[in-house]
Amino acid sequence: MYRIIKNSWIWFTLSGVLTILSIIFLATFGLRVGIDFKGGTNIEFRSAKLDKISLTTDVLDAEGYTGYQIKESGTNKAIIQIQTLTNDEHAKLAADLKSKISDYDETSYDTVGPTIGHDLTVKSIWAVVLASLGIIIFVAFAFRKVPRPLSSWKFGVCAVIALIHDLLITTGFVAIVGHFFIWMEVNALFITALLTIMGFSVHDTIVVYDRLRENFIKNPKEDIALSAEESINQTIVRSINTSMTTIIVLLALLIFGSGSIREFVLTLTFGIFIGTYSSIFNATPLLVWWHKKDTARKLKSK
Amino acid sequence: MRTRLWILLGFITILIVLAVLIDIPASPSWLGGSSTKAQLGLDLVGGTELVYQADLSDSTDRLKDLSNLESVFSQRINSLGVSEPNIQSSGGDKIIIDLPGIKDINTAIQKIGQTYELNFMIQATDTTDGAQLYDYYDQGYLYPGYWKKSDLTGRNLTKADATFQNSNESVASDPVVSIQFDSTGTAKFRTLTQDNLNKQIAIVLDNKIVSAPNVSVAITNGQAVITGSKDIKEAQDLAKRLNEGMLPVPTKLIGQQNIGATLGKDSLKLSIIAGIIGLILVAIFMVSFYKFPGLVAVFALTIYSLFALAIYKVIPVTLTLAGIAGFILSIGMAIDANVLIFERLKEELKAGKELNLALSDGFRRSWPSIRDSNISSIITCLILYYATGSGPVRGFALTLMIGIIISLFTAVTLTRTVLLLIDGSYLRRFIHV
Repeated sequence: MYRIIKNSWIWFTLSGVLTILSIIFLATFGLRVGIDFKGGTNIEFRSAKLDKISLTTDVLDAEGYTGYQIKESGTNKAIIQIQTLTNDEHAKLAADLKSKISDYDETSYDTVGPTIGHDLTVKSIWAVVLASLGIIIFVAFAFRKVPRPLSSWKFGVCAVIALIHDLLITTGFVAIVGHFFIWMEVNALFITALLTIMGFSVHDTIVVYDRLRENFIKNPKEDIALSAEESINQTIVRSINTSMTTIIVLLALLIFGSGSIREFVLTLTFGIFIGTYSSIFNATPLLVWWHKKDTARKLKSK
Repeated sequence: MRTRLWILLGFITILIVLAVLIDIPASPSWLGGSSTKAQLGLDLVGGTELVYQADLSDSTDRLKDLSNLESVFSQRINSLGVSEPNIQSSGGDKIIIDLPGIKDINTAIQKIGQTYELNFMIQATDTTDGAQLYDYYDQGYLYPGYWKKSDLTGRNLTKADATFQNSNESVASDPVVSIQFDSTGTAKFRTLTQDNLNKQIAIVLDNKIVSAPNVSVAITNGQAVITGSKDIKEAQDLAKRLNEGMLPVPTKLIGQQNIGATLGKDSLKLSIIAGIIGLILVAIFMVSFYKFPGLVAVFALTIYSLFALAIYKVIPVTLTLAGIAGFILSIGMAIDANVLIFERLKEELKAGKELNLALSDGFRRSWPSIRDSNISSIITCLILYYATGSGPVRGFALTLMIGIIISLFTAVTLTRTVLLLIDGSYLRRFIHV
């Protein structure tokens, strides 16, 4: 039997440290906000030239652009992120780049006006808030028959705390990778990834909670810590196997799939890993800790 | 009990045959023939996406104006000759146009986004409330007098035709453009002509005067002619411009995206390869970990993929890269139901139950977990679909949701039917605890 509840403090410390580190990374490096949110233009081009980044910088500086970003993206490719361009500006820029970089080949061009960006920001925040509320309410409802003294709301709240932990650490991961390694930006797909991780994390947590409910109904007198320990052990193989199959598929997509969604798949892979960890090592230990604290407080007041 | 299972199996077999028939490129004609084919998004085939925002601030009927705008756009796009354009309104004031295969973004924008503002102007008494305007036909010529806008605009126009006006049957007639107003426009035009008897009304296109006829009588039937065209060709051009230019509301291009066709094709090929590799790896993992039940799960997973693809074609779901990612992810989630069931089955067997009892108990006891966890995923998908409204996000949410729903059927009903039908003593040899 794995002693997961017994060693709760280890996981709480680990999660706490990771969460704090993520917040620090987010505060210092920040995230590269994509044009989906702030408006602007992304130009992706192919060129085998080794000095394509500096050549591009020369062209952009010569045309008087400021506040742009350029980064390599995969083999022989680079992305320029720049303000919203008009069609004439785009045509001129493309012509100038072509004259400087002989094998310049624009593979994708994407420009978004600031209005769409604002729309998406508002909608994304709503989506995350609504999904969290939806999950708390659903879990509270699904576990409404949980025997006293357990409270079904605690199940919902603990599930959501675990998933906020997942989202924070995943975002922190994106900040680090985006800062040091590859081009990663916060765009519509990033929000999709976060919401999927939410769904997956809760999916996992519910399976453990479900077993806890079953065991608790079977042995209501048993100490909750013991019931929880049992439940986690009974479901741990399933949790790991399910995540394994999902991560196998995602890794296949990451290694063999299209480069255009590489960042999205990477975010998902990491998030699902963290989500599985938190379902096993955080969500249930947290529930046990909260429940015990609550019962102790009630005993004291009596 | 067993007869019910056999009937269920027969029903499932019929569904599988149907799904396969839909999946193959040459579907039989009663299933829609080869016209039922997968719709691929721009990121997979390459092309251009344009996002227009309509200014509906002056609009009295927003829904109608937006759908009118949508139909004007579709007319123009049809004239571009794009094979499978996709036009949809979004967020109450935006129209998203997908043009697969169109690489020349600027020509597309010019053809689709050309807007002509048509106004009917009346003579202003002085320079302060009017403007001087140029003649449309001769840009260098400043039309005499000052002009100010009336409340009649191109919004009230229903059609424009080039015809001849027979002023005298014996002589060559003048080419003119006849225009027709809708009911509101007819009323406005009547008031306008009544109020401006013996004065000029200027027909102004993009701030240039096309013609400025003298009003000799109030016009009540909502028809007017624009004279002054030099020949029939010019009258036809003008009529065409008026017809095409009748955007019901002012619009602005607020977003555009262009994806090279090669990038799209590469992405499609890579995604399919990645999906197949992923499936094979999952199959290897499942069979090596769960042995025979794992094989049944892989079989269920194959059927699942056939069903999902058939449903994507029938609905139809436009498959984008994000959508394919959603589908591939749902493979991982589809297997989860089987993992849950098999883990439970193992436990029941360990507890010393007979195989058949262990099987049915395993399925029954794992159902609440499967149900609850999948409902929470479906809730997330629904929120993703309705709350964000952005193209790639929706594609992802839709394919993932369809996948989850199908997986509940294949992983639970299908696997259970097959496992329960196999003779217990035979099956026992393959299940090791």
